[in-house]
Amino acid sequence: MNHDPENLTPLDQATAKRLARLSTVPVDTSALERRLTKAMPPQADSARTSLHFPGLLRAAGALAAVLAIAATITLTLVGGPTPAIASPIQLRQLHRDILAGRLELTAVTSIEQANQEIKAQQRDAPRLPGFDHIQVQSCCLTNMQGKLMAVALLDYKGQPVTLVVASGRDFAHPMGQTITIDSRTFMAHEVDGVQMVMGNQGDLWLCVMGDSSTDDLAQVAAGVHLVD
Amino acid sequence: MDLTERSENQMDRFRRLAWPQLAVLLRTAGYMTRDPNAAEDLVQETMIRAMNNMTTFREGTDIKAWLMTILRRTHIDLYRANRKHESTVSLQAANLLQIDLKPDQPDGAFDDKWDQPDDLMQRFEDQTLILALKTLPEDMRWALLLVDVERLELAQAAEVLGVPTGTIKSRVHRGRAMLRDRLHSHAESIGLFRRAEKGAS
Repeated sequence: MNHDPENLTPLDQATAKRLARLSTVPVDTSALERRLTKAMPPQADSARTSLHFPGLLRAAGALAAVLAIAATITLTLVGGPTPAIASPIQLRQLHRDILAGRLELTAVTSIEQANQEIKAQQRDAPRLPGFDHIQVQSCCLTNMQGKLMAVALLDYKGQPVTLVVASGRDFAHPMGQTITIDSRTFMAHEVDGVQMVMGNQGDLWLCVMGDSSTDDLAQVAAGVHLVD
Repeated sequence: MDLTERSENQMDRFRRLAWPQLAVLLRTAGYMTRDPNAAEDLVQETMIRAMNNMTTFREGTDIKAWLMTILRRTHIDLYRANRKHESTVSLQAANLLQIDLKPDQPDGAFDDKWDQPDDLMQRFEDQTLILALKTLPEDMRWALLLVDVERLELAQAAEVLGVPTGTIKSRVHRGRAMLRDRLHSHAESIGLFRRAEKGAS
């Protein structure tokens, strides 16, 4: 016990003792281990190799390392940070949260109004693109993997469809089934029944998802146009 | 940097030091999020950040505290823009416990009813205790998880949460009192204390 038990009241002692037992509750990590194993490919063994570099070779290795670090810093400064790979699981959860009312959305009647609402919350938030013949119902600003996302709930053919937009500098789509419409390429994913289609429009990354068919969602994604 | 450190690459160190803490992280994440999927997402992001920053971990220091720091920062990053998340976690848990959250109620309001605290505490199942924990404000929950559940030193917990040690002491004390209040309310709602009294008489 890290608190001095002598100074604890019997109530606090009993509470702390009972809480400590929670550390023995079994946790099933198997699914997470599989996910992590997929997400983390082994890295090059540069450090171990450097141990066997004698003399000049070691110095050359050190110089190469310095140059690599300098190149990384330069790339970061010039090109900005590497985009995160969007997590279909988190996107699925976002869609489910919206439909279940667990995420607070603002009712709107147009994309312009939605963009005004979002900009009022955060000036540098990503802007929602426009659509033809699709009704926008509500919107919000959220955060995923530490990046800002503008979200709109759409009505497409009577089905709720969630549109998520972020900066293309922040997100990249994971590889999935490729769909091409009008020379534009999207990646399709499905998690627990939620279909999603991801792609880029200008400097935006977007994801359209819902229980609709992948074809319908791809049509929505292909129909977006940037708004001023 | 010693020979052991230099002879391993980042991934090897990660697998040797961080990977064995997966269950600890997933358990803690489960107490901080609304469902198992969210907990797994949180830990996955935490582990990726940990691996990418493995060179900043110093051998001989506490890997659990280091990972907990990353877990907490990742939790903040993932849910910073979703202000409703915390209240959702708390309200879901309160509904399952069949209790009302009364923010105006002083902490430890029912402490005089715990005449045999050890015995009473043992009557609560793990799941009930976990739900009661989830009803607590995040600051208190983190403090209890780090200090009482995962047995970090007060100074370590203070470093993880970025607050003075005195603040941790205060949060742990308040958190325990609030937890007892929640458990008491739940016990009242299902008649647990009354059954205990009858059993004793």
